[in-house]
Amino acid sequence: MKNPFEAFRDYFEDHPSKTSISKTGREQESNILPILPFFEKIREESTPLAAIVLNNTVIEGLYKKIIKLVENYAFSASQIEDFTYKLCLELIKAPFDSIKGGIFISALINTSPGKLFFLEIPDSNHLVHFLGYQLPEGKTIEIDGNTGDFLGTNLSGGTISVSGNVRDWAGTGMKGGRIVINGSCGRFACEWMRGGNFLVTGKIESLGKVIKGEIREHWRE
Amino acid sequence: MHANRSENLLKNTWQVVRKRLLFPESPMPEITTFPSSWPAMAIRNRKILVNENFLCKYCEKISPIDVLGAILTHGLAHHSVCPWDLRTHIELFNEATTILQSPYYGRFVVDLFLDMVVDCYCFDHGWNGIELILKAVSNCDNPFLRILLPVYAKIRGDKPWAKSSILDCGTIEYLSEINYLDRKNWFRSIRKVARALRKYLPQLLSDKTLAPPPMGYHDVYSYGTMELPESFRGLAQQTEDPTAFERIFSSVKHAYGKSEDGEPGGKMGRSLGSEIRANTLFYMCLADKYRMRIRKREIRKDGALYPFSHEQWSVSDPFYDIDIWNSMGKILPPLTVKWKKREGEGYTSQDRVPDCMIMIDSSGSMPNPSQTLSYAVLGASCAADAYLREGASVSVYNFSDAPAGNRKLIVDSRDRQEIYETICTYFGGGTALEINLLSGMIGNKQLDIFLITDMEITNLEHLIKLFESLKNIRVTAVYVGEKKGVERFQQAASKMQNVSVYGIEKPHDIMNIVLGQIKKYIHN
Repeated sequence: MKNPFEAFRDYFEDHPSKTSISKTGREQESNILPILPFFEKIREESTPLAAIVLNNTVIEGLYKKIIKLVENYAFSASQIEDFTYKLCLELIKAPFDSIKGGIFISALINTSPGKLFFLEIPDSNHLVHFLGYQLPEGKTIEIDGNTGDFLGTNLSGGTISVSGNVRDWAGTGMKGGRIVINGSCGRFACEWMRGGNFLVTGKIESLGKVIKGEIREHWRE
Repeated sequence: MHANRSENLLKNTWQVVRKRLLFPESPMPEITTFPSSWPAMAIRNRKILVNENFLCKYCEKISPIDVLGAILTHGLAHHSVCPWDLRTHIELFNEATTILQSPYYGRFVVDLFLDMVVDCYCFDHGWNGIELILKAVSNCDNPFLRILLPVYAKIRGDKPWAKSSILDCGTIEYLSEINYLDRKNWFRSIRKVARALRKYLPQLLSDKTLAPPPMGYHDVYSYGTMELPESFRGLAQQTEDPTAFERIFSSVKHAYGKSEDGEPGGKMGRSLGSEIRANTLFYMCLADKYRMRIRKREIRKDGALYPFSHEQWSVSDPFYDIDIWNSMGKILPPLTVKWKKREGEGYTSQDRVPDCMIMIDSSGSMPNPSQTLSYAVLGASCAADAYLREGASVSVYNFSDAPAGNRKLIVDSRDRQEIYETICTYFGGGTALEINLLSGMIGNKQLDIFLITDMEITNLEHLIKLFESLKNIRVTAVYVGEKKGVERFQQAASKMQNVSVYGIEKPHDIMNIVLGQIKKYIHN
């Protein structure tokens, strides 16, 4: 009996050799695979949650440790965006992870050669904290979704724009740059702010101790 | 190109291309003459129409087999890879339009994205004909090429294919890193493309007439005839939000309302629902999701022939007309009588679905169906759909303060659009019924009544009295929300055998409603 699939044989045999398109992977997973081991390493480090939240030096230490780990790799904007999406959906398993994840993303952005980053935050139970930590001048982050606490902490010149709501302590210690929130902002906004623009189209629940800078509520461009 | 030669070339190339894409079901393509400025092909009703002038133009630089092969592969890959169907196309368009806030820009980005996915698929499989064509097309003013050429060069790791580009290096790098082949993330990928190109679009598309994509238009006319209603049905059921649906519908209508190339598509007699309103279409589509059951009833009236009087039987008459009881059991022409039948109203015990009258409350206490999902309108639409499916006629009485003129009425209609439009009408204001008009409309007809309201009716007592007087008419009363009239109506309805009452709190409650259900009393 003749094999009914015989007609397909030469298709598979004479299939032209595939041109390698290194950057156009078939799966989103392959794009973020190089980042995942670094995040796992940071996540495994035991840092008490209270220490992370209360002590700025712990945050700074963690940030420097991540920078040391990833500075030679220069991940692309697309990789960082895909990692952020996956982090929000799947990788946050403990309360620490949303803090460490946020600082990790900030470190990736600050060491990346890319200038513009579109971070999509899917609707999930977890909000990422510390996004845009120490964002330098010349870089822009556009966030689509809601973010957690400490957005743009120690911002030193970059631009962050959020199309959603932001929780407490946004713009803490910012020295320059611009934060635009197309939504509302929680308590203690702009604590120890020393410069820059903090513009909110909605409402600011309460302000922290502001030293210098421009803050606007119900702002329209 | 000679007709025979081009026909043979097309036939042979088509076989190769179909084999490449694993033999998808697609009609045989045609080589047609379009103006030379037009793109390489058009797809109409899933059929690829190759532009002969384009073929001739590039045949001198590239071999005709390569050009035709690349065009057909590109066209067929739209059919079997991206977007696959019209619904995916519309959803991608919606994602882009949401980011860019303009259907015009949204369409441009979708056209670009669809070509990028298909071309990357071809590159990935080693079918490089498209690369040869794009390199040969030297029209640097085309906004599509101004984006595609540098990005493809970057993806392929080549030196730039075009001398100058409108995009900066960062954007080219960014666009080249997107995973176009990852089907699961197409919606995210198109959002990325839209965001990355947002700042360039005003400059790129400053002309009001959009230049065609190099490999042809992507519009709703490319797909099968039944795909448009199917797509909108799917979208309505997915969104369940009339505002979101209306936004998608109007932007699709705005961007794809008419065929760009006029000739092939324009004569197909299809348009994007030029008359139907978005919210009518929304409830029409959603009614398919929540189906109601109808209990049939014995219809006494029948239009068949029925025995009317006796007459003498003769030998030439058929035996089955004989009335043996009145013929003394004998077959003898002078004694035997047969039934003389007459056409008219007869009495049968056939179970059928009667006609229906839908009474829907659209007063101020009910939500506006064009702004939020109105359970009342959805329930009435489902009831209308259920009766229409059974071949019954539907009357609609949409009321708020009816004595003041706030009502809309249609009687015994089978026109779906007219029925749904009447159901979707919203008046606002107070709630009162015209009882005399209603009893006149019902008359002696054998019909079912479907009432949907929040029971905040000024003359509720009169309505209850009317229902009490209609012993042979089955009433299905549905209330939305918990207003004070509900308790009173339930109390009155508990004494009536022909009225069944249901409440709707969520859309799935609609499926629990059985139209024409009559209470059964075990003890009686």
